[in-house]
Amino acid sequence: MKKYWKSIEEKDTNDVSVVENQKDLSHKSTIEDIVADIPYKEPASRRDFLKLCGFSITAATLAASCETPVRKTIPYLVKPEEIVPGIANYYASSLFDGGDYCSILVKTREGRPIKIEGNELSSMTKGGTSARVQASVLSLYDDARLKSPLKKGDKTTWSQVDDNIKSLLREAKDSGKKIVILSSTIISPSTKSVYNDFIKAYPNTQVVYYDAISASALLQANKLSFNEQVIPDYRFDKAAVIVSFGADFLGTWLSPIEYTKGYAKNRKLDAKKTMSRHIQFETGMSLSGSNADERIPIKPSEEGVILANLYNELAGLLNKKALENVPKTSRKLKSIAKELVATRRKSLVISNSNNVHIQLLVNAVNNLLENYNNTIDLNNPLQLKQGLDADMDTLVSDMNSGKVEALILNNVNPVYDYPQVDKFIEGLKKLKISISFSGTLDETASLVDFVCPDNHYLESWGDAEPKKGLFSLAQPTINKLFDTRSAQESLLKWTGNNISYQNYVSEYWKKSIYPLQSKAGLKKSSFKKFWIKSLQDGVFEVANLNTNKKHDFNAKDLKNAVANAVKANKQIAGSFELYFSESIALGNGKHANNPWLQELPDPITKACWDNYASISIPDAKKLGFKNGDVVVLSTKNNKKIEIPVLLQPGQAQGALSIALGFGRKSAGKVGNNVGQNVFALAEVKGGNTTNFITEVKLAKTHKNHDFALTQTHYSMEGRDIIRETTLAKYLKNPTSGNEKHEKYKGKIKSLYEARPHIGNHWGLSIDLNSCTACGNCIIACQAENNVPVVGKDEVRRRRSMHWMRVDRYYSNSVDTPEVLHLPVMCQHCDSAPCENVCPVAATTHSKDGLNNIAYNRCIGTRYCMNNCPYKVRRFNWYAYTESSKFDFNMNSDLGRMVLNPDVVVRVRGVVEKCTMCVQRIQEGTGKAKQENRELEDGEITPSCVQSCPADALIFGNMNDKNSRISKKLEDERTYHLLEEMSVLPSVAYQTKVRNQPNKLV
Amino acid sequence: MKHKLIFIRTALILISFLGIGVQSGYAQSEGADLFDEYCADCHSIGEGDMKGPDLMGVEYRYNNKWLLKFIKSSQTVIKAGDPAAVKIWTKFEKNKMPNTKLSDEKIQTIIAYIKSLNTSKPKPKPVVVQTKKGLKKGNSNKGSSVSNQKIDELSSKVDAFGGKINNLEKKINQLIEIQKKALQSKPTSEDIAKGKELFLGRKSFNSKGASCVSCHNIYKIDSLNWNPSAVDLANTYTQTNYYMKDLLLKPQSDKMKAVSKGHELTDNEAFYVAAYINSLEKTELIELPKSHKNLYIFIFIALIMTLAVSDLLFTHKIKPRWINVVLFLLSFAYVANATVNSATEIDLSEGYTPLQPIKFSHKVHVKQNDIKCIFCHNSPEFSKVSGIPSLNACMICHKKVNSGTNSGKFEINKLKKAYKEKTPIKWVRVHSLPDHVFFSHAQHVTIAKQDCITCHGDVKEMDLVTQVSPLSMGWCVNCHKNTEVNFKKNKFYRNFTELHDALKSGKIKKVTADQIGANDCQKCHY
Repeated sequence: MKKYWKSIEEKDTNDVSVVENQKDLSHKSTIEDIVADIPYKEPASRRDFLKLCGFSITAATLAASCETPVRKTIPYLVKPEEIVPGIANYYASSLFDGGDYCSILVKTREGRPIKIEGNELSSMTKGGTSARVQASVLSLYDDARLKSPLKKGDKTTWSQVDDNIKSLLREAKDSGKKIVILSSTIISPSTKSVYNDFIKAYPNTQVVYYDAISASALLQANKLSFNEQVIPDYRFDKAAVIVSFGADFLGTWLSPIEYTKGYAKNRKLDAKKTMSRHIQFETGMSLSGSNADERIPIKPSEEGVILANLYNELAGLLNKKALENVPKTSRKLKSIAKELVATRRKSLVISNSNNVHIQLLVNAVNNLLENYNNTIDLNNPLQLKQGLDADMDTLVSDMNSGKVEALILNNVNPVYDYPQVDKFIEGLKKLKISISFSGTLDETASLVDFVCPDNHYLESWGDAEPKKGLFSLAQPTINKLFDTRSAQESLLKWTGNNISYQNYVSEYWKKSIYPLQSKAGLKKSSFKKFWIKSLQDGVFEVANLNTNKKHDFNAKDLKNAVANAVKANKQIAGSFELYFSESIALGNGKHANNPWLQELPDPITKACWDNYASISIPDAKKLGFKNGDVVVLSTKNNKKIEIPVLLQPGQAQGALSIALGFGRKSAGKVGNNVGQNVFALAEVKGGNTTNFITEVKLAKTHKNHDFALTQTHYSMEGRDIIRETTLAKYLKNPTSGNEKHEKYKGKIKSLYEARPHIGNHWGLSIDLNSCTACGNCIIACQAENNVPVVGKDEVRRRRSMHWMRVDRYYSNSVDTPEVLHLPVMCQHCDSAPCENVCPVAATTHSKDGLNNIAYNRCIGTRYCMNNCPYKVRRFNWYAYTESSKFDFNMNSDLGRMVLNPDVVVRVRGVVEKCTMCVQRIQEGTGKAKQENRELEDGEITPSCVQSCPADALIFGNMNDKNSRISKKLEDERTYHLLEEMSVLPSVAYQTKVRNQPNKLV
Repeated sequence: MKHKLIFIRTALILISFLGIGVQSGYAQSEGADLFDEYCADCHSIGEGDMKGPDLMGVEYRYNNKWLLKFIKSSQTVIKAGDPAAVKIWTKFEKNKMPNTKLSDEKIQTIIAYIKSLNTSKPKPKPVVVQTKKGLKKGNSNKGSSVSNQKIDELSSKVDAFGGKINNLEKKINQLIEIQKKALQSKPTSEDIAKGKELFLGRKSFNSKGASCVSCHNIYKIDSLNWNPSAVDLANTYTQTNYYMKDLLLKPQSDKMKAVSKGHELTDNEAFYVAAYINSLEKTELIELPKSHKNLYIFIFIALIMTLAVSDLLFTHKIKPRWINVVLFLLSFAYVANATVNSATEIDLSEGYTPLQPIKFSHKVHVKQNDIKCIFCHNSPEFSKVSGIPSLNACMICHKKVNSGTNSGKFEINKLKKAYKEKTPIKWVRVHSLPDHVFFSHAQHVTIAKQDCITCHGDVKEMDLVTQVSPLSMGWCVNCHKNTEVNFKKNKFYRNFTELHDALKSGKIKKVTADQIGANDCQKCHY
């Protein structure tokens, strides 16, 4: 059997328990500390006896005089027609924030949004969500949100703000200088129209789009190659071979939910016996890299030369003209080129580089492979990122030279995320008036004259056009919590238009989108009908709005691109390259104050509440670094930061990577000063902000940082719990890699009698081949089941409360490891070891196959936790809702509004775990019974299943032989964790299959 | 001008004082009946705008001929382009007033009724606290500024009263005199004590009339006594000493009028009783002062137990040891029994019959008026909760039903006041399960076809709702064990093949709820 390992310590040591125990000792819990400090006492004295007597009497007295409190019940004064207490309402809406787009359903209970679900009607996200989307509902109840408009930092009223701003804007208009709206990318057609109205009223207005993490080079390259400044539509569902250069399309790149849907579709081995092949060239280990069939670590500076070489290999095979002056690379590209040529028109080459020259080379490669109009569609461009870095640079120099009179900031935070922040702040001081629409007092908003807080998206109207022709609507799901106003309404007000944004959107739709109805192939209906239908669906889609225009490839800039790539590819001895990655949880850092996201472990490093410099293990050995050593990192421009290093298997040698989005200074009590901000280290080259820098030096300090890692939690002691095979072997023998399943199946006798399952027997199946470990399910579970956030310190003590975790295992060498992700939640064993040891029968087996736990019965002996072979049970060490130590979301009235009223909030001292969302099972079965019908397969979906962007999880009734889960269970790849113990889990897994026809590394 | 406005304002406020709570008797005039039947759904008289405008003073705002025309067919007048008609129509969101077929005389009766309310007894203004402030301002600081907006508001009110200003001024002078007197005579604690004695009948009234307490409770409001309690009165009526006294001297409700006939209070008596009643204001309604008798007994016996044990083990003061032993055993038995009993009863409240803030009687509503449970509690069939009716649901009927079977207008007025002031009523919850128990009404009502009575008892016979079931886990579980499931008819159970086979083969006679998992822990605890 292959050796799997979770940490480097584990790889090097044979005895896992040694590592585990060492860790334990270094984390004495507070309670243990206290106990240790109590000195040894003499035997009990008479005094002690009396004390005890007194205590018992008081206790008994209290018990005897306990009275049931009088509970009041306060009905609605005027009950809204659509609200029935106890029944959830769902509203279709859209989320767009910082490049993330998702069509969603918002679950509201008694008027409070409490959960986000995916909207299956959207052809783009198809019911999938991401961890960030799931967590966005918590940002609504963030106490750091502004509660009124501010003028120079002081609270004021809207009428005052409007009066002041209007007169100042009028002055700015007359001054002849520029008014600039600095905005993050806008995909809302009606907001664009609002901008245009504003420009009409103030003709000297200019709109500048600025994205903290931009796709600037990609846009420019497409402009040069095809004369279209767009991000094309990448069709991962059509791609047979995917070669990605650094682009983490499953985690963070452009439209990860959509790409995961398409990617996962081609990774499934259900009916068809083929799957796509994925090759990743990258610096740090990304989510996509960890899922790739082949992963080749490269330094970011090498990318251009590798691409040019790949081009030449392809040109050679296709008898096309090769590029000149390309230096040879040591990377073996021949077999990749062969595969690409073999799957011509069905391959896809992408890069996340923010260097135009590299993107030009990528375009050239794709053009050579004839991927345009096949896997890459320029006619239906993605609109999620439209900002050009150079525009922002121009604006900042304009601000400094006094050409700008007024600046309006919409959903941007350049003081935090713009590399040349000092210049920006300098320019800000020279303005007559600066206005921010920021919902919180972020780094930029605290420096401007007026803050006119925008609503949270769950309180706002809005629309979106993420891709040409795909329209979606956003509607409010709760009344405004604070005295805020939508940015659009503010802008309109300043133009003298007092229309509400709601009416504006509907009028815009009437004028511009309603007429498209015929193009969408719909029967013509009245606008009212159309509007209501669109609101209810959340989306209105016109397929192929654009004609199939041909795009000719323009190769004239290629020569220059090659020259540039060669120039960039120089190795400077003794220094590192530093690659800026985007974290799965925090993205560009806007939602750093969201405790759910902060505590979501990174899918690869398993660290939470931190960022760090990932370094390759040979480099660390060379420099004598251990995990957590704090280093001073200095760039060639003499910028310095202190940051701990984390030894990362698979990291390219000679290159570090650090996640952006951390180190916020003014995010709120949760997000402030978590990690280090590295936006400022980036450089501007050729008009674009680079996503890596060179010549970085490291100097050791004496400090050591203690990471909050969930990596070493819950060891599985190296047992046979992950099974994998390769496609070739699988095709020969479908049970390959899973031979043991047959060996154990039904052959091991249990001491306990099998339990009958009457009617339904719930089961869950997880396809390891589809699961990308994006973390969506973890947050979806947390939101659904009121799982508390415990904070960095408690995670260090291994007291993370997440009901489901996604384990990550490495195999092979530390330089080129293979990664396997394994989601684990309660396995709901039919013969559960935890049930037998509970002294109070708090955990029992239900007739429908669930492993129940009654929190009110639990006395917290934790025997069940000891006896659970999967380590999925969690203990409430504290009263997380009451202690000021856990000041995250559950101990304030505002934060508690997100709690699901159908799930009890657990008290201190009880054990909890995954229930397979029993509240949803109850609701689903109840509904079917009420409607006097049989339950449909797939009608009930636990929270993790509902919004999985990869559709990796299937839930259903195992007693029903026709259900999808029953068919999955018959699949040759299906196995159970630790099946040799015969605990009969209800959760099944399908082996991971890697498509490795010829091993590259 | 400003000066005059303040003057008028004070006057208006004082007038409203006089009128507060002035209620017409139980027997209504023809005009009142007609109004209730045809107009009261959309209009009030002096209680603010509803769907249509407040009709107080309408006879001054429009001339009689116009009114007649408008009431008969408002749309005709509006369509003719009458500016006044269009103005009022647009003000009220273009709600169409239905045409009426009432004869001219009947309409005139209604108008006369509205008029009668206005001229004889100007109706109260609801916001009394504000009134008080205004009063102080008017008297002590005449120069205090009134914002423009207020002036506008006031002048519109002045308009409403039309040419009555002269009359008002006269009244105002009188009223200010009365007010001065009232302010001088602030009750002392002695006065309150005297009032208490009179109220409780410890001292008889001059007129030898029955004491207040023979009809009115002090704290409680309960179903046995439909009359408002002293606390209730104090909380409902305003806090001004003067006013309560006035009410006592000149009773307004028919009942009080009848009772006090021939037994009128003297001025002093009224002052004392009013002082006492007012002193109870802000006393918590419903809750009685707590008795801790059981607790004291418990502590006493527990002490004896402790002493007995200590003496037995350490001090040895009582020589015959058996005394200590017996003492210990007896006291221990008592303490243990009390502890176990009360511990097992924690959170179980069978027989719990809390008093409610309004004397709402299920008996009156369900039995006498034959209203189905589901008419008010409208969601048990599809939601997990049955739903406490919202106030607007109460108002469906109580816009018209102004007087209760037992309690007259007093209790229903509380409802109307709450609705107008937008303060929801805080009912006391009778049936309440702990947070860790999930119970679905839909499951039991729609699926298991259980009647409300099964758990809630014969509510139609209850004036005050009592919890008749223990709502304990044992009670739930036992019911699940015995209750047959609608197994064959409900298609949901089709795939429960084992049970169907067992039924067919006669192995089991019926399928009970626990056989299909009703007693699994996570049916209720999650």
